[in-house]
Amino acid sequence: MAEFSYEILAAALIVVFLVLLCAEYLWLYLLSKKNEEILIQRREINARIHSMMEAFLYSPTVLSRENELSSLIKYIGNDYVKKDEASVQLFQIMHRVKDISPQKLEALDRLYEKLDPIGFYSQRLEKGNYYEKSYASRRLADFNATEKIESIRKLLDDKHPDVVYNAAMALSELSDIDSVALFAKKCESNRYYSHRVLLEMLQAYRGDRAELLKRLYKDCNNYIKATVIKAYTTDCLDTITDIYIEGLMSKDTNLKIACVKALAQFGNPEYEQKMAIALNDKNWIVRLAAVSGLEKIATETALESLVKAAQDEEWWVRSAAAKAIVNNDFQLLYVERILSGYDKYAADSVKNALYKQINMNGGELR
Amino acid sequence: MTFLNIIRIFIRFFNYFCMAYTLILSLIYLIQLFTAFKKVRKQEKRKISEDYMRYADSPNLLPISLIVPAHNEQENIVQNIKDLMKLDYPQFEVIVVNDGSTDETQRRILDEFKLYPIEGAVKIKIPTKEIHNVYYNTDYPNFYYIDKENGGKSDSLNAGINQAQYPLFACLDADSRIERDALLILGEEFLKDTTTVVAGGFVRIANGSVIESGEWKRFDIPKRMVERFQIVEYFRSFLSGRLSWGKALLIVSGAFGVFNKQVVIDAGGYKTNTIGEDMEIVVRIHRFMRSHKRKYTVKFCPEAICWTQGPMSFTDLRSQRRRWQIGLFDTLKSHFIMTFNPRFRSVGLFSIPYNWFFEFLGTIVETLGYFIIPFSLIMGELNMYFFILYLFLSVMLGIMLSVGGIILEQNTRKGCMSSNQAMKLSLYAILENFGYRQAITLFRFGGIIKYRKYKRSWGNIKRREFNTMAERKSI
Repeated sequence: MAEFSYEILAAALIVVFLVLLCAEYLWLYLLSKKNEEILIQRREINARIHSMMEAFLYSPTVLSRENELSSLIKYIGNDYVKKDEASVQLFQIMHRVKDISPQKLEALDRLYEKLDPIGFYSQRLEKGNYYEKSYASRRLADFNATEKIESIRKLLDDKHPDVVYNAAMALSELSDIDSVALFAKKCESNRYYSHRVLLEMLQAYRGDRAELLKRLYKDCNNYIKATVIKAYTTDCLDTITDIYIEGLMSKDTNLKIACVKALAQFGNPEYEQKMAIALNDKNWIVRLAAVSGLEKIATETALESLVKAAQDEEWWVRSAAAKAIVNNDFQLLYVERILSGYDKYAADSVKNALYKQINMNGGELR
Repeated sequence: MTFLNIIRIFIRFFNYFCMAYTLILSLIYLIQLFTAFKKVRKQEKRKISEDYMRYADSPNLLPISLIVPAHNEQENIVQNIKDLMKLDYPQFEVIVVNDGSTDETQRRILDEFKLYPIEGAVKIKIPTKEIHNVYYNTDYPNFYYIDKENGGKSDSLNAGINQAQYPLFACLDADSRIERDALLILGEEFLKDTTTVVAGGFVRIANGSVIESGEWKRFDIPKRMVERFQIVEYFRSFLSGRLSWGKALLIVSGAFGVFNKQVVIDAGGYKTNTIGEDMEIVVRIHRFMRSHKRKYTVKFCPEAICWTQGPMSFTDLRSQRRRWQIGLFDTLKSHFIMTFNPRFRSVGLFSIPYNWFFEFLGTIVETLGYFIIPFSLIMGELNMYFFILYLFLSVMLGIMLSVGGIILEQNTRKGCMSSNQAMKLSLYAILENFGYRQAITLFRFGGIIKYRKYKRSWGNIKRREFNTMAERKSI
């Protein structure tokens, strides 16, 4: 009896394993077939929509254009993949074409109207899973669908961080100042979103950046203040220089560094005094930022301050100051003064800057 | 008790042990496969909203230094550097470290890029062998070439880290190619999650594939059996094996991984007297971060693809697997303190014990099994029917796991292989059980036996240039 059970068990195990293996093979076959078909189908859709769009845009007459449009719309139908592909291609055309003729502009308007990408992505925003919602929100922002701001805003309360991030990015692109400020405020305590993600979101903002900066500076903590100032450093927002100057007095080092860097970007002699003060700061990164400001200002007194900075106790500051002097149309007078001066370290920094310039340029002084 | 009786008891005990061991291992493999399936499905969905190409011009992605150690790599090195320079990433530099090559590597690089020696102060954060010269050319502003005394791959990586100016660095093999968007995918992991310290890419066997300018063009099944087996093996071990470990992952392939430079420096850089430096550095990072109670994450991204050439002969394969086994043993031995140590959480409690019991001891048990089980059959200590059933089920399970690896591959990279190719490869999932797997086990066992002899020897593996479309057409 025992032997009989053993044989049954063995046979059963073999059958189960064989069935499982066959099922796995079948799965592999069906999956690879499906993938193959999807790939071919996607390529075909892509090529067909591309050629149909080209045919539509370059149609010689209004009638032929209408015919091409109707055949394109008929081809797309209600297919999700085709609609998405067509919308993506439309967006690319809208951004690629710079000098566009009035006829083509009209044709693009017609295509946009018929395709209705905003309607399509709005549906995905309502009905899709959270990844589709994220994708739809970004696409709506691409099409500047400001009327959908309310719907996208709802995603900011989603529990899934990817959805919230994409919604915040979309709202930033759509210049929704309230939502951007709200998201930034949330990030004060929630460090899930990195500093760089925040920068990415702030730099995507297409609205009045000075206004946003003012608002965040007023409402948020020093971390967000420093981040927003850093995000818009290269923008040289001259209407908010008061904020930068105020930030220079801050006890928060990051905020102070951000403000010095922002002011430094202007290269305005008006701020030379501020830079000279920053050059005496106890934090070397602040001093380093002041050096770059003084390099841009490049007045005689600024160069004098740079000579002083070349004697700084921190290697990075000395090096940056020496480089600034050497790069500044090669200020021989100042170079000579440092080289013949008593400070060996300052002289070394200048020699190094000179050597680097010659070295990296294959033996030539710029 | 006679000697024969002792042998009989030992054999009986060993047979029971083998059975229990295989059962546990199979269970672990199945769990890994299911976990990997779950993760792949999740990642597939995530891909809908992950439009990483949006970051291609973003100044917020952390800049990366690509460090390429090269020792006698004359065949591929110039093309590889050119491909690296074309990567989609906003800010990066390429640092090629010539580790005392004796072939044409140096001459070919200097001639091709017209480099000249430069002198500059480099802060030595990790001590290395003597650097002869650093070369540069203003026409290639993001390319540096370091010529140094031979000191091994780890030493070259350390020299590259000293020269690197960016906060992240990627270690790359000179004979591998990374896909153009691979850096973006890994860079995004560091952008979105600040706790990321290591992100590894998926290393795929390039044998048979046509790759041009870092872009995969077409897949063809390679001609040699040994290459075909390796493709199946890589799908199983990379996709199923690595995806399932999550944050407790112990290996980021030396062919392609991105690291937080400061963390690697704080942990002491790459260990120079080991040949398993890729595993060692990750285990050391785990140890360092846990010891210092710092938050961190180690990630594996199957979408970031690196193509590498698998060995084309069994001799080269033996050398590679022996090296891997020595590297594994060396690392586990150096970090023995982490084994079953709750202080290191999942790494100490699961990953390291798993590697000890199944990756290291498994080789010994399997090899002994090849000799003891037939012996026990002869001695009548093992029921023949039971043996056949056991063998049959083990082989079936092995096939299921390998086919599972190919299915995972079909889910991660849709349409890369045709259905015919997938089915053809799946045949090798069957065939590999009759010779290939046994050979691999014996190669690995050889690594343990010859640990002392080969523990610092890399061995030479023959490489050839990557296939291009033009070459393929001419064939």
